[in-house]
Amino acid sequence: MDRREFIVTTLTVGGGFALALAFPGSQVEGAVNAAKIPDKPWESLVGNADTEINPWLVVAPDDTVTIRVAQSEMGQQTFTSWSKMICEELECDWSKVRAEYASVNRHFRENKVYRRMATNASGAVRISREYLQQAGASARERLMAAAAGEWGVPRSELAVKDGIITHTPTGRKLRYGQVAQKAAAIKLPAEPKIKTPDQFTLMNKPTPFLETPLRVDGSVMYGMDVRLPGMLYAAAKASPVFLGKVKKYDATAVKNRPGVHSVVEFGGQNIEAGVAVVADSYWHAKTALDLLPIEWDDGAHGEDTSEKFLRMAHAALDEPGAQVLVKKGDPEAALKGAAKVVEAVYDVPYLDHAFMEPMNCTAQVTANRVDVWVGTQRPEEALLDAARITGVPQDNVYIHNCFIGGGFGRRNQNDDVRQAVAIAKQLDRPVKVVWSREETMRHGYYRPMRVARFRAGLGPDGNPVAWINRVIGIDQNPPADMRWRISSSTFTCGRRMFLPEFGLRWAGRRTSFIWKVLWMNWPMRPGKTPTTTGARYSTATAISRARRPG
Amino acid sequence: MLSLRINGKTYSVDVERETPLLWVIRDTIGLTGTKYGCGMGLCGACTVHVNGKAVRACSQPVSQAAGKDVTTIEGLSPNAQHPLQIAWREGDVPECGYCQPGQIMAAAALLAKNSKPGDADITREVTNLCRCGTYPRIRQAIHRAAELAAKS
Repeated sequence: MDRREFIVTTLTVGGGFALALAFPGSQVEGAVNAAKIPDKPWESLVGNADTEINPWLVVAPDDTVTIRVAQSEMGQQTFTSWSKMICEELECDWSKVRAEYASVNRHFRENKVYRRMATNASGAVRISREYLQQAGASARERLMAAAAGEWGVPRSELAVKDGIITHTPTGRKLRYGQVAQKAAAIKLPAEPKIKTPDQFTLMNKPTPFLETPLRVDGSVMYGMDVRLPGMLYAAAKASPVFLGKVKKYDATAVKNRPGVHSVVEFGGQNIEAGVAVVADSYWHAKTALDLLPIEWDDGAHGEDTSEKFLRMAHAALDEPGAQVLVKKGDPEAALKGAAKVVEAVYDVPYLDHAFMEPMNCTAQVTANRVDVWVGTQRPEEALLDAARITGVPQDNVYIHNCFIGGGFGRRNQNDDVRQAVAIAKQLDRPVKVVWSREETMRHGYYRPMRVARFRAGLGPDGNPVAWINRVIGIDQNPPADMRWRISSSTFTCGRRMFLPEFGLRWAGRRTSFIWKVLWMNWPMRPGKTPTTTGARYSTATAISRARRPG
Repeated sequence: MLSLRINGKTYSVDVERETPLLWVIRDTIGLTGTKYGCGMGLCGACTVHVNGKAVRACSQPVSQAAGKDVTTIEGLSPNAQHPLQIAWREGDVPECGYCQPGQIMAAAALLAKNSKPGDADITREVTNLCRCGTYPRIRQAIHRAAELAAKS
């Protein structure tokens, strides 16, 4: 349609303007509002008449294809990428594709049918592409076999495009929706081969994200947006010092505040001890929690501060005894002979993931069933944790994954889930536990602090002849009891970004310090001088460059 | 009891006068498109319009909105056809999307008073945070929306 036909209405409201423009029937906009993803992402779009071809995909009588997404969506557009990886092989009509979360509960009941639901390690595409293509190809071949059976012709005489199967010699046609039920019962003698990248026709083309329409009108629900009948709200405060304990608190001080339902203590295995106020709204819960007198036992870590760790790390730059992890040539000698020596020390602090959606989790615990609504990167562990904490059998635990307002690895931990389940266990109604922004920051799983010194010797032509690098990380202070708290992300970062054997050394050590040192002579190649400047990621960048052979 | 007009509908709400508008919109009325991000008016995820002006609802007592017209992302346009929403879809602006309702509402207030904002205007007026870093696409989409609105 012509853009000039746009209807413009301007609503005058009070002293200002709200500009409201309507663009009816715009071409680009065709069917943007059709439900491609449920706005409550944990709900299913699949109807009774639809046929599941395999756990990854369902075909409706009208040829609509529903893809089951077994990765969490936190901004990577996983619903789109998973749909494309499957439909690349399925050869269905892309405009009729929609997507929904796979069931975590089913995943466990059916022997981990979705293979890997943990959404981390940048793996949603990288790790799953081949088996998703396989699922799509397999479904396609079963649909084709069903059509071939219907006509009594060999598979080789059939072609398919956009979900329409054609018997090439006669021109007869069948749609996927017409053969889905038969296809579901077919077993293939052998799995079909999947396409190689040069054969892609869908994955190699940009397509609008399935997720976007839900995100521009406020309709999609994040964990924070979950609302259930009879739901209570809880504001939680965990020990401000890692692994501290609740000494005492005075519930009577807040129990008459408006809307307050109860005050609940929580703790247990891998749950930072703390107290939550439960009320009829988050605001009532939060304002009461702010007034609740709580005394903490800080435990062993009461004196630990980031500043102290940073000072210790800087001091360690010159201490002897650092482990040599890589050494190539004789960098010290080369440094001595260099025309010029440049030195720089960088430090990076502990960093919170600082996503936009504060931590939250909604849970309902009854004697024989647990339901958890949460945006989590590890729904499998969330289910196992909820089962363990409540004693309810795994088969009766349901994780309803939500859209996630930023994960960045932080939402791998499920500490929000464990805490919420521990709180919900004490209530007879569903409860949404919300951490304030302050609480979310205070109880992050931080990117580890690092101090690194770079020394480079430059030759007469200005190119480096030696590079000596010492990296200090304080990952554990002191022993393994902080491992689950600070160090899980440290471990991953260390192993991935620094050196492969890092994990082994770290796990075996019980000192406060982890020493990592990298020595090497940079190979003299014009145009390949490494960039070691830039503050925040210089250490990791420099080292990953250095480790590249040649 | 306070009377609130949100997206053209009148609501009677039984809340304390100092309750932030955000929590009345989200918990009492149940419109969850307006997000909680920081609770201190810093991130802008809770941006709504009060009488057409962009307001950070987490830091605004509900009593100050009584008797005024409040617009949330759900009420920005019928069928999500505001030029900004169209431009947002065209450009696939959001990543995780959590901040985007606030971004759109801040941009809508800007467009309402300045139909062709320059980069400097956007920088000054749309100060919402986005952890995914969609800022360049947000900026492009605002320019595109201004263009769409001008052509209409």
